[in-house]
Amino acid sequence: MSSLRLAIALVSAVLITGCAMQSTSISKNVSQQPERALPHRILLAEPDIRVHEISTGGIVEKVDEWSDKASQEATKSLESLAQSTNMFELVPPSRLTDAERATLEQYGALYALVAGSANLAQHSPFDAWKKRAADFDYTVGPGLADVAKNEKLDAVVFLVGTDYISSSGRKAAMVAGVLLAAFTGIVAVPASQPSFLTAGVVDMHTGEVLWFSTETRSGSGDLRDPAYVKTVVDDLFKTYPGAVKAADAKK
Amino acid sequence: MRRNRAIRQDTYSLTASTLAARRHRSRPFARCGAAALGLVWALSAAGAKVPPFTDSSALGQVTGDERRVWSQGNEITQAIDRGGMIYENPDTTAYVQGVMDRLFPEFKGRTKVAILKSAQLNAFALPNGRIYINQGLLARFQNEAQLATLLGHEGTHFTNRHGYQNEMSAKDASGFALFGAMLLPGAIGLLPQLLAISSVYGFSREMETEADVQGYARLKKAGYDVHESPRIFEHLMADVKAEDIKEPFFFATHPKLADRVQNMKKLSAGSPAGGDGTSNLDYANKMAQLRLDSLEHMLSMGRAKSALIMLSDPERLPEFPPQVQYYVGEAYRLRGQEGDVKLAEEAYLKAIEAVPEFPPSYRALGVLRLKANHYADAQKYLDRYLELAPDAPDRGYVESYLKIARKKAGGQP
Amino acid sequence: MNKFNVAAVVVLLGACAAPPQRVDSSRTEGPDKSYAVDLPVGWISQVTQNKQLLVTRDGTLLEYMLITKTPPKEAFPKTKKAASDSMLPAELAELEIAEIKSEDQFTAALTVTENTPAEIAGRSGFRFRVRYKNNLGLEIQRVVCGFAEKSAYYQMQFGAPTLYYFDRYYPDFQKAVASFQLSDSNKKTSRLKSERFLSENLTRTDRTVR
Repeated sequence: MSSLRLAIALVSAVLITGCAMQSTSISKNVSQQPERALPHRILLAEPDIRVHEISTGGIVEKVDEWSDKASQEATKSLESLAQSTNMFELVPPSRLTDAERATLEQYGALYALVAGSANLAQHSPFDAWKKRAADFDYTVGPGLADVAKNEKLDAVVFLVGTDYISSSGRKAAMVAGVLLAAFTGIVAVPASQPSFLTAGVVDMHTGEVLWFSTETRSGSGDLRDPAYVKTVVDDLFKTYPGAVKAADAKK
Repeated sequence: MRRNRAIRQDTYSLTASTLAARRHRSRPFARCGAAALGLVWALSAAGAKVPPFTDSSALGQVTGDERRVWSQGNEITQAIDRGGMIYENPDTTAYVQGVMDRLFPEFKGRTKVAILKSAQLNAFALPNGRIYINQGLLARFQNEAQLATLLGHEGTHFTNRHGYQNEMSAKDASGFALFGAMLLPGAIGLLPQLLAISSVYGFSREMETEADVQGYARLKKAGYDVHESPRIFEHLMADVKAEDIKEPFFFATHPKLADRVQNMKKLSAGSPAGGDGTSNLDYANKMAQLRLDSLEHMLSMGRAKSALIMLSDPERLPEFPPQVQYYVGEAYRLRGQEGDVKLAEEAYLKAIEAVPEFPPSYRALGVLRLKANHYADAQKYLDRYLELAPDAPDRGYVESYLKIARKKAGGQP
Repeated sequence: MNKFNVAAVVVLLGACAAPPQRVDSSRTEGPDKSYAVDLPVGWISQVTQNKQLLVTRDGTLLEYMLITKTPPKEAFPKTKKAASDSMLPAELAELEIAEIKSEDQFTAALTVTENTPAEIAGRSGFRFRVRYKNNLGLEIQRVVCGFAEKSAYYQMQFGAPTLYYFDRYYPDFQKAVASFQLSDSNKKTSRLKSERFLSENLTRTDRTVR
């Protein structure tokens, strides 16, 4: 998922400086095609969420236990959201055979390039790319159709995220920097990194990317915190066509 | 980029460089004057040396920060595996692993060696016990004792937890740099930054020397001829010179190669002559296919000068299979200096004499003759090539050359 | 992270010589007008800072065509070799393969699956195909065609993941190569010759060739 991460991280660095939070999403506007049924049984690919610690001096290290915790919380939040809104039925990845998982992994790698490209296009300052993003016919090709057969799956959702947690030393440096600035007027505060969570839903029969959304945040949130993850996931899926349809139905 | 410079350093140990490539710093902040509290903090955070692993059972007790470093190593391992970079030759790999296990019997099964498809003379150890050696380096060694010297060195980086120490040292140093930069104006403020940089982009000199010395001890204990140990650095020096690689001084955290040759000579001076692993022939037999594959790879990357280090040494040529003269010819052809065409031609002719059924020699000679406007000769050799290799993947090119040769020679297509 | 991952970011976020443009009309001239080529309508083209013509539909991470014209002396910067119109096409291909292998540790492990003579713009050149994997294990394929003139070395390449994208968009690249013309050529003749030549020489062997 490195290309997708890089794409999102770079876009975040360039475009959301100064913003605490940003939500972006693009989709095929499936809800506006009434004849097209929304996917019902959606496979959750193993979430790929990496939580890093930033040391006092800025060295960044991924922490496996934190990353696993964040992935578990994201899964729970998405399961809870799916159940409470009836948007779709979430199928865990454990239902796949080894061969199916291997195929999914390959397509996950391709998805990373597709989603990264879509994200970059969406945020490009150039009209040619903005229009390309708006046309939104991104696809991973039809190769997932066989994986979908046994479990009668309609689509797969990929969850990718990155978070940065400052070490206590770094937090102290931030405090020291702020104090320094207050006394001397000279700014020397170590910068924080934005974190993000992105989700994409791919039709497993056609390979079409149906919907893609990113929540980028800078500040004190923590993707290991169940309550925080719930808000991020809820916000992430606000624009999902199923959520839009459900909201429309309630009106 | 500093990372590129670090890779160009002529060392065995890219562990820290590889890990450094995966790190990224937060955005830098401006230096300033004042505030003492940070300096005290940073100094107290400086890392201590950790004891080496005693045996495999100690590996199960790895926790906390060291687990993270292992995890980074695992990610690199995964990227290497997925990226198709492993040279898949079970016999050769098993042989190299066997040497490793002889040197580190108490870690058998936990230190895993893999060979990479790379022509460069390099090797590195990851904190998770994975040791990677490039094809090019294995091909350059002359015997098992030289291989064992390298493995002793790399294995020591692992057993002595240098990857973990290096990472901790980098974090401490950059923490120091952070606060130092906040405190110390002007040129003095640069010093903490240097400290940070010099330990981030490679193991420290101390660690490399430790790996040399303790690796040497393993070599001796395992019964290898220790007098072969300086040779591995001599191979590196020759490569650096041939490929005109600049041994960087400013970021040279590794002891310079010449110093290391001298250090190994000093270490081995007091030891009696003799020991295992000195049969060049035995090693050559085990490495025959790897050497040819490595030559192919090296030449396909345009590293002709590097290839000629081995191939122009009359003592080393008998170590290779008889078709080696074809590769000698290719190296001269690719080097392309004055007089090299003639040397290439002589080599191809020797290859044909030594192994008449080896097709590439005929193609190579045919092309040379074509370019020299000797069309009848060119036709003869190119026809012979296609007779010996009717399914040759470059048949298209050869047929186009034959068309030219026949046309120019006045023959019928 | 290979150069085309970097290019994806650079191109899309805007750090090139000229803004990207949608290809509305197929026939496109090179940056210095020394050549013309048919590009797929609807794709997005951009001139890079090195005056290369970079074309992609979805982003260079997914597929790209790159057309390059360089002075012969600067043809192979990584291996520090020069191109020459006296070189055989196989020799040019050999140097080009060495350049790709020198990009990073993933391309260094590439396999050459095809390497044949090719006629481009009526000139004798080469065409080869290579495959390698990225750090996620996704296989990428690249096809490179090229030829050398006295004053310039021309190269056209197409790259895409094997999964779906390569087969889907390779025909567009083949059409582009077939349409490629230098500005001083006999347009009609060389176009027909090259189309026929390429289709006759579409061999697909799967052996490793150095």
